[in-house]
Amino acid sequence: MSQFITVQVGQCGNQIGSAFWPLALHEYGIQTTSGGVNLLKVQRNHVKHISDLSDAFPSFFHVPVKTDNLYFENVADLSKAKVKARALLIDMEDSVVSRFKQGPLRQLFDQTCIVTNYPGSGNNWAIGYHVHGREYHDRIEESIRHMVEKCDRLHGFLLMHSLGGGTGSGLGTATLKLLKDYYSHVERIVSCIYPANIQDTVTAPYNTLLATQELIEHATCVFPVENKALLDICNSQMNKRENTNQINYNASCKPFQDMNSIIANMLLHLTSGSRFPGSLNMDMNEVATNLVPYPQLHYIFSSVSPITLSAPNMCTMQEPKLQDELFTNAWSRNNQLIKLDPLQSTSVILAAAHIARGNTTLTDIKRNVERFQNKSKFTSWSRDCMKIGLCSIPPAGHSSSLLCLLNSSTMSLLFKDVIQEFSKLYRKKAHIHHYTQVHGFEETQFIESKENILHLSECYAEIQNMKETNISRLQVI
Amino acid sequence: MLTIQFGQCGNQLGRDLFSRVCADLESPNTGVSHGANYEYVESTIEKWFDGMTERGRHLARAILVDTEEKVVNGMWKDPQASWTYRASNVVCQSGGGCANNWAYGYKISSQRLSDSMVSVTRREIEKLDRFQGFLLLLSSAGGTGSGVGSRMVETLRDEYETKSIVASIVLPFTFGEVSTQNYNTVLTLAEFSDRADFSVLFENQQMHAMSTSLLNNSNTMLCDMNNIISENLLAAFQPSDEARCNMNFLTSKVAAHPNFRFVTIKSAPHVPATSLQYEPNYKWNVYVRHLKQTLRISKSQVELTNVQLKAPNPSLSKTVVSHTYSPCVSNILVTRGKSVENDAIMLEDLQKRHLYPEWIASTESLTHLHQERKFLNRDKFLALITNNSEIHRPLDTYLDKAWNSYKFAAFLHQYKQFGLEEDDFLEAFTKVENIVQEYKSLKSGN
Repeated sequence: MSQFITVQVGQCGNQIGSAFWPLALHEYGIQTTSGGVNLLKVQRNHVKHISDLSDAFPSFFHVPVKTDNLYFENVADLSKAKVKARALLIDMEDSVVSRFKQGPLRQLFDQTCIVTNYPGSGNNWAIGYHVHGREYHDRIEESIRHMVEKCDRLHGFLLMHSLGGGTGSGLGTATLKLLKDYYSHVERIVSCIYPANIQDTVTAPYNTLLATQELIEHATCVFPVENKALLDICNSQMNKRENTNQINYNASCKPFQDMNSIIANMLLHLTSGSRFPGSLNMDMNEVATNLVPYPQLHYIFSSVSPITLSAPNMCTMQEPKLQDELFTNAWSRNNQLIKLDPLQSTSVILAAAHIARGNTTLTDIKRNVERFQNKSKFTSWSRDCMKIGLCSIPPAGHSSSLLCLLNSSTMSLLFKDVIQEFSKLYRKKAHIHHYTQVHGFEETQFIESKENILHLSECYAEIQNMKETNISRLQVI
Repeated sequence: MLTIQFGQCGNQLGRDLFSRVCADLESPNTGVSHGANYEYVESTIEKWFDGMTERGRHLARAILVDTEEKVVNGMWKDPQASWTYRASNVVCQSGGGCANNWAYGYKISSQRLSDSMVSVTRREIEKLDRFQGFLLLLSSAGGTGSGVGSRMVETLRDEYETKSIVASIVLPFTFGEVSTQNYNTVLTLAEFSDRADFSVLFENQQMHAMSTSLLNNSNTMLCDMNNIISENLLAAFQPSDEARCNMNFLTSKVAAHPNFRFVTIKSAPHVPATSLQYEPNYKWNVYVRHLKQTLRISKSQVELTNVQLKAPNPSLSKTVVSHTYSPCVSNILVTRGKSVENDAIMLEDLQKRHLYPEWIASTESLTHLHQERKFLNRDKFLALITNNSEIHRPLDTYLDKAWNSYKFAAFLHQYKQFGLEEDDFLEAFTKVENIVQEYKSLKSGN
């Protein structure tokens, strides 16, 4: 089974992590909290797949003792076996990471893999990237090497951070660059939070711009997420009354926790093909091959369906119809993790991947991909750029679910937004001195980043308006 | 015969294939004397298997090649099966798959795997007194099957110049299984057209349609499609009464011309296993005529109904002569089941000169192989191994789509980063264009 190292940077990144690890454990059938809803009860069928699940246990966790039986029942079992999460926790303040240190999962994290500092990066990308990046370079490098050495088949790094603040965006992208320098052949999957409009910090537009530039340069694939989109998804789930488990769950959870678990679910689904068997495997490295037609156009729309944490107990619909609805939901703009519609009429799809888990059959996928091809617009070459994956292990609590990844030219709107927000602030040269006084940062970096991002969004526009060329096929003489 | 399974698809197909062989061996209704059946079983086992385990399970003579452990690991989990793989024949190194990238499989993964692949192959062959040839199973869509398979067929060709290499290549769905499938397919076909003696092509699209319409399987899964492919392959490769019928014989008959090396297998009847005993049993001629119909092409632009998706129809009169048939380089008809006097197998239908180009001698055009023993409990089962011009249609489609993305340089950077150059692409395109052109310009005599 392929293995992944999770790198969570900054407050936001670590909060996503705190939602990620309990859910990852649930997927393997381990209950983490004593109170609240017993998610395991919800997950009725995990026993059926127990051997496949425990086979895949090392993909996120390191088990030091060589045993054949990788089946654990609770957290106590985990700490007895000295199981460690393959995770690197980086934060420049202590608060969130220390919550990890006290939580029920504290045994799961290796002390050497926690990098903290005080005080934080002051919402300043330049401090995060240049000051902390330089200062902690060796420390982070060592921690990562430490973890990489424990992997026998490392497959990818999963980075989680936000772009608005200083630590996540600055040190996060510095770590990304470090990973690229040292482990260039390993996939770097980034799932990052875009602040988008509702800004909690003044300098967010600067940080976002500078970090975006780094992500374009160094990541293999980026799955952008917007808080607003998550909030809308959560709100619409709250109002649904059909599902008692969900209501109980809603009642017991914290708002950020719930939003972050959407991201966690997406990441679990994304890696499922690499972890579990299926009749049409989809490995992580296939994501980039299939979805990135041109270099640097690796910003991918993602949506999971169903988005709820558990399925309704009663289901009256027939299986094929249920499957169709699953697909329709995944294409809907309400389920996208950013507030853009990848299928809007003016944009084109560059590539798409549908990864199904559970009892979806090839026929279901075939029918629905053909439906998708009829409803969306493509460039002249991308109609067949479809990837399908079938993983036989359903996610916790469901009988089947679908992850839809789209590379759409709509993404240029995100970049335009980033530039617009940046220009608004930069026109008045506000707060620039915070950045320029940092050693290693040049003001030209602002302009260069802006140019680069502008260029990228022009690339999308170019593809959107691509004209059919008439180069005939090779002639046989 | 040594089977080598590449990639996820190849391994899944291989497992199905061997299960079908066992099912055929164990089928209770043989229709022949005990002695004849014994002979059939003996030669089947010699062909596909290599000894037994202590528990009395047959060991498949197969090598499993994959870059991802998950599929290969699941292979021998079934303790009930009467056969299994030899654990030492697994060549697998998990570096995380081939990323659906032909170049990665061809240039990177194959290097890591090739030494052990070659030594395992040699070890297997040294055990054999009479080695017939290789059967390679792979799909052309992904990275492992197509890329590693392409490199391996080169190596095998260099090492075993005189042995037959037969490949069975599964072509992907046209709607798209993998974004890069069209490149991968073109690159694979170009490689195999030179190296393999002949390649049997199976279209997933066609298999899926057959499964839904003939077997009434509304929710077709991959294994159902693999079952049909396996039956087609077995109908061709299982022993027949022709003693010299080995792989070299098949090669010399079906792919005599070096420019025409892609064949398809059409078979009949396909019926759901549950209703097998209620299906009407027609005379041999009905089936032969049905198979001939599958060679029909339309004169006008109208799409013909896909004959392979229909059940044989006995009421079809012989007088309909207005159809045109696609020109064939050669055909092999394999019939399995009892042939009695008032129901003889008539070959005239398939011997007509209008099916073949002029340069093929009439003695060479059609080969008939027969086996009295029933195949998988079926009273009658026929397979037509045909090397005909219709194959240019699917190839043309893949070529067209691949060229279309190539024009816009889409996905090319993925291939270039593993050392595949523009020239390699153009060379592959030229080769496949040539094949398509050769098949297109095939003209039958009157």
